[in-house]
Amino acid sequence: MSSPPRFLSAGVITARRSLFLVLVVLTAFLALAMITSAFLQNGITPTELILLILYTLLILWVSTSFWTATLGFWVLLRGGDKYSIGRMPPTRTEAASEPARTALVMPIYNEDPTRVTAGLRAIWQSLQETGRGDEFELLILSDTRDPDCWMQEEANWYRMCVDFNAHGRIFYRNREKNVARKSGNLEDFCHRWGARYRYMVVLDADSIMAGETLVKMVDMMEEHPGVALIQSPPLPANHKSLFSRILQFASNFYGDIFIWGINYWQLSSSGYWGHNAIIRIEPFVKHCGLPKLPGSEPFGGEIFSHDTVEAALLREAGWEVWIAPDLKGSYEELPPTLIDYAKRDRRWCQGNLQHLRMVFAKGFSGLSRLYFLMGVMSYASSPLWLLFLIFTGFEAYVMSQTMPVYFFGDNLFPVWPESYTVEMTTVLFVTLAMLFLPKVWSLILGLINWRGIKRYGGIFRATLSVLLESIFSMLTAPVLMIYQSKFVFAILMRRSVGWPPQNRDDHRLSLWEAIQAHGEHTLIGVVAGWISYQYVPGFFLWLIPVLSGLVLSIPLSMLSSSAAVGVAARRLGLFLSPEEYQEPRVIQLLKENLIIVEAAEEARLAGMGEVRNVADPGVCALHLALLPNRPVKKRHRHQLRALVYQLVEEGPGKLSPMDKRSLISDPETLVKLHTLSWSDGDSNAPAGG
Amino acid sequence: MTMMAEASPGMSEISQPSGMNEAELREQIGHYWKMLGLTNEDLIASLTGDCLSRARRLAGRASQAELLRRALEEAQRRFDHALASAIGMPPSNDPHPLAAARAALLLTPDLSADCLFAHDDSTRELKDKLLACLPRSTPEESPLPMTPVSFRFWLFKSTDH
Repeated sequence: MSSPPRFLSAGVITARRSLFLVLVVLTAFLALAMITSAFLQNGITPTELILLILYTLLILWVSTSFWTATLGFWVLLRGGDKYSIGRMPPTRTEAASEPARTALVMPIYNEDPTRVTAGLRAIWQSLQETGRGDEFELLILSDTRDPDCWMQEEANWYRMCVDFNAHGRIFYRNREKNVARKSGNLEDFCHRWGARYRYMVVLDADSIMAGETLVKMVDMMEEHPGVALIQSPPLPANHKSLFSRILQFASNFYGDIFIWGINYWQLSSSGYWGHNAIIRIEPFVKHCGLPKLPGSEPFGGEIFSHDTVEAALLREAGWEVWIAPDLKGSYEELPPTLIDYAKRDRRWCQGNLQHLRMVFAKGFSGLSRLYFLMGVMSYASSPLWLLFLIFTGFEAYVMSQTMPVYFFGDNLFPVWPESYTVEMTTVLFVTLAMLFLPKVWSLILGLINWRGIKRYGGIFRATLSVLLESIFSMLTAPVLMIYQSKFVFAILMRRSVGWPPQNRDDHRLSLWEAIQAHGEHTLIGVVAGWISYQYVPGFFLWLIPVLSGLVLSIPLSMLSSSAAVGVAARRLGLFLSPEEYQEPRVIQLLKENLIIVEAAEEARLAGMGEVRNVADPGVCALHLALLPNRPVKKRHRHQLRALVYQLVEEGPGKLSPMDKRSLISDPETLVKLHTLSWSDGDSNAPAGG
Repeated sequence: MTMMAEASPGMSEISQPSGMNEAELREQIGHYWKMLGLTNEDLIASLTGDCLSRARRLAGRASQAELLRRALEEAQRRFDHALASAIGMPPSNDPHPLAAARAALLLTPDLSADCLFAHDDSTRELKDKLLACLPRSTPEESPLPMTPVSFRFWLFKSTDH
């Protein structure tokens, strides 16, 4: 790569990172000094040593997050940062030889086709409204295995092409084998069409991006030829359940200080979150081909959380990777319930723990290793907190059983036991302050910018929302701690989690579902509460916030899963987000398209009775047209015939999804199935008239 | 393909003998023609009759289910033949191009298949419209090879590349 001119000097980078590291380490050191001075009074016991080690790791983690937020707060107080990609002057010295063509790529895997299509339609329409839609092409990169979903995706894709007269500009392909999951899917795209585009914008199935944002991202890439990747900060939007609305509020209200804080110290060496980011294809292809790691999962095999590794590879190759804090119009969706959130965590957890191996990869800079460690800590912190609580309880019990000795040897006067209450309480409050102060920083910014806080329902409602959100997060934190600890343990025990599709639909949890998911949490809460109350009553009082979350997990999870409660909270002006206060055009388009796509689907089904897709001559023909032209071996042909007989004789329930996929992957068998679906003669066949 | 999903009984009942009478047979084939984009009732009735006659000749004394299947296959054959003639597609063993044209005709609103059997100027108009909206699922390939990088680790086994 020829090195382009850089606006950012090495001095600025070094100064900022040094400041950040000093603040983090100093804070951790001071907290540790206090706790150590308390422990040292009577010599350190093995339990205290363990507590010290655990606290060191945890306080470093908390301090990192706190100082990132605080630096972001400071930056925002000063009106932003001139060293952000959106505010830096262009570094391009000569005009590009030809206009850039950008691919919007959406890798999907068994996602709800209606939501996926509605989102893509909204993005496409928003893009056309900018007047620069011609610079973009859209590629739906499907890894979908479910046969129903597959054919539905194709039908929706073609309908999009028809509705927007975008034949030859919106594309769809379904991979025959989903090797290496999402990273393999993108790699396949680069292999086949990489040279056609200068940039790709990677979207998730739930991504929504405004046309203006996409255009701005391309412009920024064009202005900065040394930049390989720009990550837009996606905000949650379009939620109904109370759980996701609280998270949506938190991300919107507190997100800014964290994003600006990240930009403050990471600058041109930022990270990649896997979606809603623009990537320069050439360096990506050159440096980011990911190998399969030797050994078995969780540390071997395919790289799950490929984004962090790809960003590291780009940085190490000398390319800049930025986060763009002032880019708006980038959205994503959140899991609707606490249980779905935990399920998503389980997938991410394995990917992040795998990064522990990457820490030991040769050739990476200290910063890249730090990012890998931060990824590991985002899940490893949970079992560490759990261990910390257990050991603290044990230590409190030991202390309560120790009889004070007032007279030693020949001393005439009693030696009163020293109290460490001040030191320990200070440590506790410092830790709590670091956890909660970022919320206060955001509130202060809101109070200063009263126009901005209007979009959160005004000062009173925003403050109340912060208060309620803090209570909610305090109550759910112990549940997530137990979940994540379990995940970490399971993964370290080499129990792979697979890569199940994410549930993004609103659905209220039933009592049975909640009991199944949280029964053990409630039990842990009750047992831990009883033991601590029985043996260490003083510790029990401190433990109440943690115990409350566990004991109340069932009603809390059920209540927060409710869309009705979420909508009611919105009517009361609680947990409002700017996108709810004034709906962005692209979100309006999403909602309109959800109605259009659902209605079109219903209309099609109304004409088809209970059977569809294979029975629908249009959808079946489209599927056939898109199937690859492969000769079928004789043996496979016999297997397919056997499957058809099995289907006819035993019904579809006896076939695996892979069998069903095989059937509709062969043109000859597909046509046979289509005819069979119409010659049924039963009331379930497409009805006449 | 809901018919193959657990919840839908469609395919599971394929093997059951069809208890259709003549009128129901005609109605089912007529409905199929409508799903193929035909709207002219007279044309549908005439084509249905033709398909049934040919199916009877081929199937002999077979069951009603077999008769229906043969008639449907005949409908598909006639439709594809008319479509191929309309767009000037040479005969081929590759089912993909014709399937693409069929998909475009059936999934594009405002396109009627009646004119496939009209043999007049409307066929030419249809041809132009169809060619413009043939499904183009992928862009022209423009490869960029992506070679996996190699990782060398402390404590862990390195990759082979």
